[in-house]
Amino acid sequence: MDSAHVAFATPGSGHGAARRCAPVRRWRSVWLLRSLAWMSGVRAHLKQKALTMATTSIRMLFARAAVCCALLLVWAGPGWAANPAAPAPTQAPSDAPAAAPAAAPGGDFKSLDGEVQGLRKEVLDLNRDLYLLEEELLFPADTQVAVFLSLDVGTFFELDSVQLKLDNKEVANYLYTDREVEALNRGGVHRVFIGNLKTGKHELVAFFTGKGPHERDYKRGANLSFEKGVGAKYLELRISDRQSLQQPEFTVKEWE
Amino acid sequence: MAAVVQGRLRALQMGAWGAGLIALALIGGTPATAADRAAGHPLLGKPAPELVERLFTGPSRNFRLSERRGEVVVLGFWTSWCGSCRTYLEQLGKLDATYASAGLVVVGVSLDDNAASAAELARAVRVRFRNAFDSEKVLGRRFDVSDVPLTLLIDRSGIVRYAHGELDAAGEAGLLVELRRLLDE
Repeated sequence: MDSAHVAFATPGSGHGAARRCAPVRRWRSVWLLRSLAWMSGVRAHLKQKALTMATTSIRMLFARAAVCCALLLVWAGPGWAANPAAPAPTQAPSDAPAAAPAAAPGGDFKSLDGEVQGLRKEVLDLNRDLYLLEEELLFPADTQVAVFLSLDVGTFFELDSVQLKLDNKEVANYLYTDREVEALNRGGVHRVFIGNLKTGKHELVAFFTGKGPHERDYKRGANLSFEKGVGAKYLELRISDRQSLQQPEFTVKEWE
Repeated sequence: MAAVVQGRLRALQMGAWGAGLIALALIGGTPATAADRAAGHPLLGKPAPELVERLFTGPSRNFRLSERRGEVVVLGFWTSWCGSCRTYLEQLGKLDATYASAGLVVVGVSLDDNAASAAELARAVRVRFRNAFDSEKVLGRRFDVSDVPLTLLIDRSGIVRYAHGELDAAGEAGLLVELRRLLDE
């Protein structure tokens, strides 16, 4: 302690460098020990916290399992309650009542399956209604414009993508997969774009990319100027084959 | 007195440095490897984002991930400059050759800046499975790719179930087990 005191009091008073550094080393070691202790405290705290979290999650898991079991019991309750004599069929006076409880579980499963199917149908119906409602809200009939694409034969053109520009602004760029092209070839119609437009004159330009005759890259455009009135406007892009020219034909037409 | 204060300050500074280094060592530990990062991939357990791309290899021209619901998809991200990606492409090719008939869809996504170098590597490895090119790194960001190669296994309902970094022998074996599990579901 004295040496430390001396060293601090007179750093250049004839003592060696090692002696001058001794308090520094001591402080350093003290700090190191303290920080080690602090870090071990933090680690212990974190460990404790992790343990608590794990315990809580396990408890939650058990609680959920218990709730599920309770729900299952409640659901299965009426079936069991309806057949209290099921475990002891010998008490039944005749064969007919004894056969009924044996058939009951199968009936329960059937009814459950029916309920599940019914629920699924309801969900699908609800989903469809929501979809329609969303469309009605987002694209009201007064301003709605929809562009569809159809393929007729398609021998001379293998569709790859369609780019749509409405009033010189790109509104859609759709890449078709083989499955989609196949669906179009089978008579399917794809809605490429749906949006809103104000009444008045507009122009639609469509660019078709794909493979043309002789497997050559092919890009063609088609345009249509149309008048948007009150009410929804439906436009169709049609790709068909022109046999006389052995070339594909791209047309845009309005639906009445 | 000034010397005392100076000495104590120096000691404090040294102590702080020491504590900082220890804290770094304890908190940081060893740096996280690519495998660790893949294991903690943020998309695990979540629906896979949409992927619509033109393909430069494979049986079809374009690919849309959402229309592959009901099929198990292996999505592999790679670059031509990554050291292990050549082997990785070969591994993906083997998976495709073995499990395509079982309904597996293997799709590679090259994150190269230059499409030509990606195509060159694919040609050199004789890649036959689907490969898309993402020079804009849109898919890289969407699928949170921080290291290449990265493999994501997507189940039949479109959920990202497993993620792998570089595939060593053990990693490849693990991936096969997971793949079979997904194919059996």
